[in-house]
Amino acid sequence: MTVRWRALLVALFTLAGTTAGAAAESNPVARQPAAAAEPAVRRLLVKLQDTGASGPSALASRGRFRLVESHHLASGLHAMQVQPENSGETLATTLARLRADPSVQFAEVDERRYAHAAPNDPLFTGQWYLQSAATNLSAVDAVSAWNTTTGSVGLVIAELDTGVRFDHPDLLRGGSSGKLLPGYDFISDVATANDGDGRDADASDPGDWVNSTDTGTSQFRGCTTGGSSWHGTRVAGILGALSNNSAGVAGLNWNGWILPVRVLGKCGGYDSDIIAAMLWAAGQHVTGVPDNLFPAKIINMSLGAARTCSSSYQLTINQLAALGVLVVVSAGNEGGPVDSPGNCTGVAAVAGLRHVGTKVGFSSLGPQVTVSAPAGNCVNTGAGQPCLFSIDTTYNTGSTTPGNNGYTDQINPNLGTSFSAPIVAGVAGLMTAVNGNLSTTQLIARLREGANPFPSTSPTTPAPPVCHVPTGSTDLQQSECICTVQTCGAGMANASGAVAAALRPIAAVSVPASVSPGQNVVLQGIGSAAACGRSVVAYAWSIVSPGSAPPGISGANTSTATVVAPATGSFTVRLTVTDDTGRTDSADTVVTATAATTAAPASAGSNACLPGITLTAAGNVTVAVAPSTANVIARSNQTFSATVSNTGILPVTWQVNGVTGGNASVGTITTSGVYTAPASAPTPATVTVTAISTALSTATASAQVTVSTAYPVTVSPVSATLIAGGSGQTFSATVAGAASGAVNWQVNGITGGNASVGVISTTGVYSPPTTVPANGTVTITAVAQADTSSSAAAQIPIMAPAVTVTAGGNGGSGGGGALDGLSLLTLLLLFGYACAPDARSQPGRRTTKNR
Amino acid sequence: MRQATVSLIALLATAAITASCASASTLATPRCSLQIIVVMSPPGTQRPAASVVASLARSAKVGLTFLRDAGTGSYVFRLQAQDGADACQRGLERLRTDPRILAADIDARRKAAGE
Repeated sequence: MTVRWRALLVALFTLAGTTAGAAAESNPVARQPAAAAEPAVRRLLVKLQDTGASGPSALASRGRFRLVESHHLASGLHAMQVQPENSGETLATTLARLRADPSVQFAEVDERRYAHAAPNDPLFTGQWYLQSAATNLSAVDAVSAWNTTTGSVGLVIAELDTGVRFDHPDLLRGGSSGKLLPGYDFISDVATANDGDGRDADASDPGDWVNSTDTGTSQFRGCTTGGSSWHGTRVAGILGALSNNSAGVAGLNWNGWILPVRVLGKCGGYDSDIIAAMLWAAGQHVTGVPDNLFPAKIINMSLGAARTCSSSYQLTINQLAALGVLVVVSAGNEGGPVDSPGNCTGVAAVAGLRHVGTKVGFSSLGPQVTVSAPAGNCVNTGAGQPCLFSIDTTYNTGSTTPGNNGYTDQINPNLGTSFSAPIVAGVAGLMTAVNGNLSTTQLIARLREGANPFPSTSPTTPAPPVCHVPTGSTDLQQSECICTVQTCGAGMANASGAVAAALRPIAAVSVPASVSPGQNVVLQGIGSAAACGRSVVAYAWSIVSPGSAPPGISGANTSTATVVAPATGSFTVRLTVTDDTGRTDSADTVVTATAATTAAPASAGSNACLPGITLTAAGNVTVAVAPSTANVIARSNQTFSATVSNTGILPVTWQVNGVTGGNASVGTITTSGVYTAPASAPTPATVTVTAISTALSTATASAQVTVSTAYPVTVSPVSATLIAGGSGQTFSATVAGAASGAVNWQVNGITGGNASVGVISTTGVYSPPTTVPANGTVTITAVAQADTSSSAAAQIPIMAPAVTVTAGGNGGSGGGGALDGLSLLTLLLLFGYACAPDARSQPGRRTTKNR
Repeated sequence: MRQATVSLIALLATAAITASCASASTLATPRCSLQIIVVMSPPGTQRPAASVVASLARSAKVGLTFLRDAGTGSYVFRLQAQDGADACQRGLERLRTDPRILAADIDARRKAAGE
């Protein structure tokens, strides 16, 4: 199923014309013009090894170039305009020949640059954290990065959070020109989920408010009261709000998709749901949940708790890393050691910075941090004054249930390492967009590589201390401190630097399985790969250790090198690959007498350009609902299912008579299609239940539901022949669909009966009259207490006694006594049966421990 | 006479069953309870059969009740013990040493790192 859908989606990509990504790519942001034909005169930047050894003229002479112009910039760096003697020579060949000259340290194209254009989102001016680091030191230079890439329509970033507001105009569903994939709600616990059920296909955020009533329950005891956070909506806006759309804010990824996966509800969420959601987001099967059709390359988790990294998390993160899925996690807001799972190996943990590049007081810190990014900080404020460095993003104004959509700002500020993480996840998204082959290890390494160094001072007076590695959970640093690489990661995340690092090719080396002393060792570099749209143009193998008397290399400038394994000791061979823009990457291989080992991959991969994703198939989405008709008793339930075809977006919105979710008059329906009829039959009694595709709102299907008020009541036995003045008869009644099965008993319409027609107890024990009643028959009726219009009756003939025997009466009583006794025994046994499982069920009772 | 005999039987049965139930209930009341995540070995192992769960429980000297899947190879259980408040933690440690289990951790609550 998944493979089929993926294939369909990939095929449809070429047909898609209305996806958000495609639309966003046509945004009128200033871009460099399409590449023109290569000019005859090439503008190059050439750095010579030693300015005194050989000048540009000599270099041109050796290289058979005509030197059109040259001027020295600094420290051996020359801006040169050259024209190769061979007029048909490509720029790549020119560069390769220059780089082969021993006097050249590097040679690059002196490329034309264009003024950066900020997106036209009106609130972008307040998004200081995306702008130039020249203004605010910790800002991530997203504008510069956007000049290279604004993301990829093949990119999916999963957001494990509280869910999102799909109706936020700066987010919206993918099927409605928005950025949000359908996602899933992984919260198992109904009270935590706060949406009326456990796991379901609706990843929307219903609110996560906690009030004093909640904290009075064992479920939420100890939780902090507060309004709804709309946390997932805030995070989503940073990852990829609709950008350059003249509305609201900009997100880091203008193109690409956000996969909302709901794991946090009232008072957070549980590891078991989070871990399941991580696996699902990465495309792994989770029992009981439809497979994710849009596996994520990056997972953002702005959550955690002060614990060690559990084995369950570590195993999951390892599994995801093997799939090439990067997990980005916030460090935490306690000012202590990094929370879990941010402290797990293999994740990109993100600490929080103030605008000046120092650690913001609340951010946790430690050696597990990969890089740091703005977390928001309020300065120059007093009571009622604005918070100058909020992380502005999308959110909702509802204090409990959803209200109006809006944006955070200096008055309603947004602070926390929760928002540092999506900045870095968004940067990783841009990196993946330009080089989809990067593994999680490579992404983390190049995030670090692209980061700016921390400042060693702060404008704050008095000067803040230098951050230190927390010694334990009680060692808190809750005020500003000067970051170090041991406490805040490699540096301040920088989108421009990270994208530049991601654009470098990936050196890959395939080594032989076995090596023998003195035998040839063949090293293959052909698995190396360039970034999207680039190609590897040169391979260079060299011996980097030992420095003296290095062994020879055969094929040193080809993709395959051959060296001879030493008899003893080892040497290190370095492969450097260069792409057609001059960017390089290197990988070392250690060769001993018996082995050749390298940390480099054997193959860098073949998906540098992410295959695009589209969501709808030219508008022919169809929906079918089952059952198509139903008769439902008042207050009872009927489950409907919707089958959606021709789209990867499977969820539907349910309506009753055109009202989403229904109402008390026509009945309600849950997001998972469970219809509950109203308390009494509506007028008219037939209502329409409709499923509407969230992928295409015109794709709908309906079912007709007829609601009847009466509860079905049954009486047993329905017939019996009794003797006037004789033994009684016990009747029982059931009331289907009612909360209470209780009935009132009547004889000939008289509640409890009387001496003429016989009496009946509240438990249904009927004693016939001593004489035959008028027409020889009585009617025993059970009337439902839940609805007095619901009843059932039994017709009981009363016969005159043939013989009057008082002892027989005793005998009858004795028989009755025996029956009663046996009935009692049966009841007791039933009690025992019920009792034992009840006792056994104790281990299954829910507990509030550890919550 | 017959009625009296039957009533006596019923009364005796009542007494016996009531006593039995009370005893079972007391014994079944756990002293501690944890919701845990168990990752089976090797990774990706199918949901363990009831007999395997029972065996794991015996080895760890705890009660184990399957709750739901967490992912392929990882499952959520209720762990209970009766020997004291810290018996669950000791039982969890014993579970972790079982070669059929890769990881066993408390299913802890996480919170957003937002404002």
